Amino acid sequence: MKLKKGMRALSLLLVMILAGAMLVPAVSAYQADAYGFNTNDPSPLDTRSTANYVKNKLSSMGYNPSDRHYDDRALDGFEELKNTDVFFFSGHSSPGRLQFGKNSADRFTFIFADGTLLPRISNMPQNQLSNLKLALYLGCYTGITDSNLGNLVYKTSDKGVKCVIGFKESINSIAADYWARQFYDKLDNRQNIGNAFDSAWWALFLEYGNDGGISKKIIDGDETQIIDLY
Amino acid sequence: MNRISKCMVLLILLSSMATLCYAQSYDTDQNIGINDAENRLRTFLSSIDSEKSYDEARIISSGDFRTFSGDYYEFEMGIGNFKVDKKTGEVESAWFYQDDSNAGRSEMSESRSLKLAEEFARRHYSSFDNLNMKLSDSEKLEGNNGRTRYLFRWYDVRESLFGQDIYTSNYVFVAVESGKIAGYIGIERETEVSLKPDVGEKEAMEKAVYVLDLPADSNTNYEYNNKLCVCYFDEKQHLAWDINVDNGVDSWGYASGGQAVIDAHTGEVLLKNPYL
Repeated sequence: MKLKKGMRALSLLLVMILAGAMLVPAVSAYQADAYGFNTNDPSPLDTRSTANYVKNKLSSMGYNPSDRHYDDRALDGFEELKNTDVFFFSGHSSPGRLQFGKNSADRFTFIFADGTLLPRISNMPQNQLSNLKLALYLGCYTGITDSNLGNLVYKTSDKGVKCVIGFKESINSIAADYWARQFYDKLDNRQNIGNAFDSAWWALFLEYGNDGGISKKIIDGDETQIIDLY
Repeated sequence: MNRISKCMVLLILLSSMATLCYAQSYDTDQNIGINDAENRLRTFLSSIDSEKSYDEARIISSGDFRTFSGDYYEFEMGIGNFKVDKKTGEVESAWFYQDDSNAGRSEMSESRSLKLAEEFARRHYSSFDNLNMKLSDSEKLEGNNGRTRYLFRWYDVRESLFGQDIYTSNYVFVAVESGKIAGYIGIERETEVSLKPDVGEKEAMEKAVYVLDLPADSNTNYEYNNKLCVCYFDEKQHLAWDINVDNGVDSWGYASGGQAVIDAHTGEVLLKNPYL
């Protein structure tokens, strides 16, 4: 009798575990981070909806995106960059520098490529970014070298990233938003990085008749990667 | 069930099937069906390269694609991405994915690339010789695997009463990479708006500076690139001033400027597109 009851309890437990496994979605081991900002300095800009769109697309591709990264500080972004599989930044930038949110002293914080200031990519251990499949720095001059702060694309590449994208000229914000959405749509359809870039760029021309600076890109690394995990 | 009821049921079934078949062939608003669009695309592709294998030309996915100036069927294939206008059945956008190898590829000069692009445009844009198509831009860009890409843009340009060039919404873009056509856009739309602007260029420039939050007193330092054009926003055609203002970089290296599109009849701001 006791054995029967025990068997019943065990069966019930197994059923509950199976049902639980079906209800709770599997959490991907692959991390992804998308950063957007709402700021008035040095000029009004809001890239949060772009970042949110990218975050949802990365989730659809099988990644486990962190919670929303809106106006985060550079130190947080730097730590995520070191340990993520896909990194997306859309915001204000200048050669060798990505602008992040404000710190407790109400000052903007930055990730630098090189130089003497922290946090800087050149200070990471060698091969720190070897798990990073794609880093996209969607901002003005992110592919240009500053004599003191270095070059974001090349320094990221030095640390082992598989592919990094930057831009050599100024970029219009609406064009950047439209292109980014198209780009991640294509990646989600299992296009490789290079083809997704071009196809999204061509769609931007079809919609606006110009590309807002997106064509002046620099892609360093393996652009034949398919980053969609499904 | 008597014989009349059976006939009624059969009639209802037949009419439902006929409606479904019609819907498959013809979308609403007299749009062509997706099957017709696919046939038009295959005709377009075979006119370019009849030797492409079936596998390369296999449709991976298809769906709707909306732009301000029209609705498309979008086809994703192994060889590229294509968009067919739902109303006319014209392939208005084609992007051919470039192979990864450099085998058999060599750089082509700008002049030879232009010749190739123009030949392609004449073959696929039926009004190329009937409109006043002017080459407005030639750009040298970085293509795939370090290859050189050229982008050529032609517009049907009209002249206003004051001698101002007006770029209509009839245009052709062709991208050439190492001697191969990489991309094609061919748009042809009837001009529905008056080509006489009520808002002057200077007024539009001042408005652009204002909406882009640029200081008005630095006006003399700005570099402008302006164009009076027929364009689409929110699915409506407008005569508009396309104003691009560049204010260089500040002491921190941040870019300052952007694009603003101002309706040349009403003065309405159609697009505010500052630099990131």
